[in-house]
Amino acid sequence: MRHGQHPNSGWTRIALFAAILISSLLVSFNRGAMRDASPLAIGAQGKVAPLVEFLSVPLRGVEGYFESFADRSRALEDNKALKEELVVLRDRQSRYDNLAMKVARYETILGVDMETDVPLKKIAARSVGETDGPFVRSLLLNVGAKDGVDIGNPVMSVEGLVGHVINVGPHTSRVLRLSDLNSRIAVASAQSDATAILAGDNSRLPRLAFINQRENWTVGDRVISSGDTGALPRGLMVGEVIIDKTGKLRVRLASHSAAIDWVWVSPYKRLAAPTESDMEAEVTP
Amino acid sequence: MTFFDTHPPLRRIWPAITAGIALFIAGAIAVGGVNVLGVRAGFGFIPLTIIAVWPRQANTLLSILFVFLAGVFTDWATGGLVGQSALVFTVIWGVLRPELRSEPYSLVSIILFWLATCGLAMVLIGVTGWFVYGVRPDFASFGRQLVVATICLPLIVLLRGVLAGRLFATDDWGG
Repeated sequence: MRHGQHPNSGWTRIALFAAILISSLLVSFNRGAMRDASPLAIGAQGKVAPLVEFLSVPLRGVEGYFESFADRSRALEDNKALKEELVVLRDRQSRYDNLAMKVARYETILGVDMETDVPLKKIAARSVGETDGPFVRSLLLNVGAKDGVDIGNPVMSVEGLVGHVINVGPHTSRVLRLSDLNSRIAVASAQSDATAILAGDNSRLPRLAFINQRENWTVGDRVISSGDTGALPRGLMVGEVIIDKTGKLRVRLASHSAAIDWVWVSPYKRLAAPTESDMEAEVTP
Repeated sequence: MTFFDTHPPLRRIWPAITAGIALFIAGAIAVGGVNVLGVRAGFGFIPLTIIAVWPRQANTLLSILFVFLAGVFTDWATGGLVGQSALVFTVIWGVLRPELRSEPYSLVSIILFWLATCGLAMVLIGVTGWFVYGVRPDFASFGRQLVVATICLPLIVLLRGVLAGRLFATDDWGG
């Protein structure tokens, strides 16, 4: 055995103590702070995205294999359920067509603004990384500011709303999922229009908080974004209301039913609060 | 050899640099995860496999620097609490020092240190997360990450052996 620098030499102890102290201070700075990403953090996520995307190729294959295996095993049941659903949907489709024509006629008569606040433009993106840690639920997308993505933009999958963008780099962006502890979005029941706040708690079933008109929320209600805070457009599919063991209302997220791979970002412009000059202009005739 | 052994091995720079680079790569991999049969398992514990097989003869000061910086990089890359991984990595490296392990690494040594590493990591992540967010961690997520990292551990041990044999004299890595 060769001899040399002692593992418990003074410098080693000082360096270890300093590293632990600095780390502890960095952790303590997070307490009560906004989750804003520093340019260094955005740079780091931009650097790892290509590597993770490359490494995810074989993993997607493994996921696809297991998915197809599971699909095959329940093909008969699925086929039966789909046939039953088709009968119901055909009836609904004819009713929907009639209603759509009726609404279009009313809109023409009333001259209402038919423009919806959900932008038609969609930015297709791939989720190259999904953080599913004990405290964080987020996605890393391979699109960024150069593709038109901005902070606050809603992110959708084919199933429904996944979350919103919290930081943007030139070619990458990070999405805070609806189930994350820090996620809070204004939602409404599609059936009754009663509103609430969907609060993530790191579980698969985020809870409904600040519920308005509790009596108008029932199990099975479709939950959509209410657009109340102006942060997200109205009408984005979020999930379905359920009641947990303690009797609290929770939401089974539509986007949690499948693995997140391809998503699209809606370049929705957040409603800006009126400035003083806007209000003065309103008052002045 | 024990923690206070008076005859420590020679500290070398290249094993520390190689292990440091591996830890940075593992930090990048920690961003990903795999979804099998509807269960999502993140790669958050993969960097711990590198810490668990850190070269015995790596230069200590350089090792601490790499472990700390790779921890901060992992936090930035995964969008987690900044400083959390750095704290977890440095504390684990400091408590479960590589020179405490058998020479050469035995299967029992690897298993015991891996279990200790995971236990310490869960406590540290749980406590720091509770301190910042005020809630308990998602233990199921811990479990899933632990299973994935444990599956990857033999591969990491194998890679370590190959690197130690190819790039350096095996003795420089301590096993």
